[in-house]
Amino acid sequence: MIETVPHDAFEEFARARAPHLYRAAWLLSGQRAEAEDLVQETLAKVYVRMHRRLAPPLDNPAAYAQVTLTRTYISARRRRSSAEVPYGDLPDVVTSDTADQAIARVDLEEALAALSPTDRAVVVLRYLDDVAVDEVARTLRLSPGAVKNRSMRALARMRERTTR
Amino acid sequence: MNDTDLRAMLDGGTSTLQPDVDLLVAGGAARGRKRLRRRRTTTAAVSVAATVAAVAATSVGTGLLSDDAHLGRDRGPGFAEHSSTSPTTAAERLQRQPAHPDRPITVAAIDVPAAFAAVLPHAVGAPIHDEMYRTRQSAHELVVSFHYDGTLTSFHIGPAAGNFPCDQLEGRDDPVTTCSVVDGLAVATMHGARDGVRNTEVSVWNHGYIVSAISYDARETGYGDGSFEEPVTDAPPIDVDTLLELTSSEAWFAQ
Repeated sequence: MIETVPHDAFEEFARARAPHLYRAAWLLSGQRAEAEDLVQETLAKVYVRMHRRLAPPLDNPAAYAQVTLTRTYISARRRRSSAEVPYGDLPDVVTSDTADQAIARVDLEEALAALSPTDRAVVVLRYLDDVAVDEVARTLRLSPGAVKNRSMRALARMRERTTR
Repeated sequence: MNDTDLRAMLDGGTSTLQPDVDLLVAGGAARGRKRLRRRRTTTAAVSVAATVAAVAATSVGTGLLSDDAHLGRDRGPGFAEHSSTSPTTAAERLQRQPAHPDRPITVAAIDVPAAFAAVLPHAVGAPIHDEMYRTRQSAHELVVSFHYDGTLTSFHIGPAAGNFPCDQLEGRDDPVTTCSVVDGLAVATMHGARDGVRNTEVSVWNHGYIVSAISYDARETGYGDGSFEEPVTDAPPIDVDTLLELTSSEAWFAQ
């Protein structure tokens, strides 16, 4: 089969974007293995999209990957349970953190554990990726008002967790 | 905690994460390749089955679309899922498919051969103009035939309304027909033969249209009576996977 997109184009994009996608995936899932799976799943979809020969080229592969990552995460969560239940799996991240960094990470994990999957997605898109409210709404198929409400609710819950 | 605090918290909590980029990229590429291959394998399996029981061919370019005029039947879900996107996305796309065209065809018939040439390795000819293979084009219909590597190829886009839905074609043996869902689109794959000339057809239900492409293993005579010269290949030269890629493309429609 002929492929219109050289393999290097995908490789170049994936290498450049994987660290950021991983950060977002880790914030969403809270687990290293799940984050890795989520990033690989996202990159697989980007790969397929980039190798569709007659599809128009992606104007913004980073944005496409970001939306794909978030929707893949939400879809996977919905398949596991029809109800939004906050979860707080213990992390298994291996890093070279200093003591302060380790504390910051534990604080973050605890704060995020209070959030539902959709609220986590809102937080990641709004505050890690700096995505505008309207765009977050489109990505998550929510109304802009719902995104704002969820943002406020998430902030309140995280604030409550971190000030205990 | 305000917005700035939260941003700082997210940055600080993730800045030292050290993912194995090699693993992520290799894993993503491997999954992507596997999905592309799976799509090809799924459709190739249909080809194998069809060679066992190849029977009469469809008529030129409109085999599926002109099938008896079974009017008024709505298309719907209920297909086996063979998607390369997430099941949710594919199911949603399938559910969203309109019964009637929701946008115009934007490609010109004369440009269709060039679109095929973009994905095919051999020479693609200009549109054929004779009594049998006459180019037609309107806002919601396009019919064009041309030669590819010395064999006839027909391409047709027309409204889906008034034709059998894909799932009701499943299991037919004249031509041998299989219906599946690929990336949220209903896809009928057909293999037929008539007078020693074999053809492979893929039809895709998209945007309220049926988009069909047929590859034959012979050249038409040019007499305008639908007759063919002797087959020049062992099988229709455009494989199912390529026909699927062409027929499922969004390039034919206004976005």
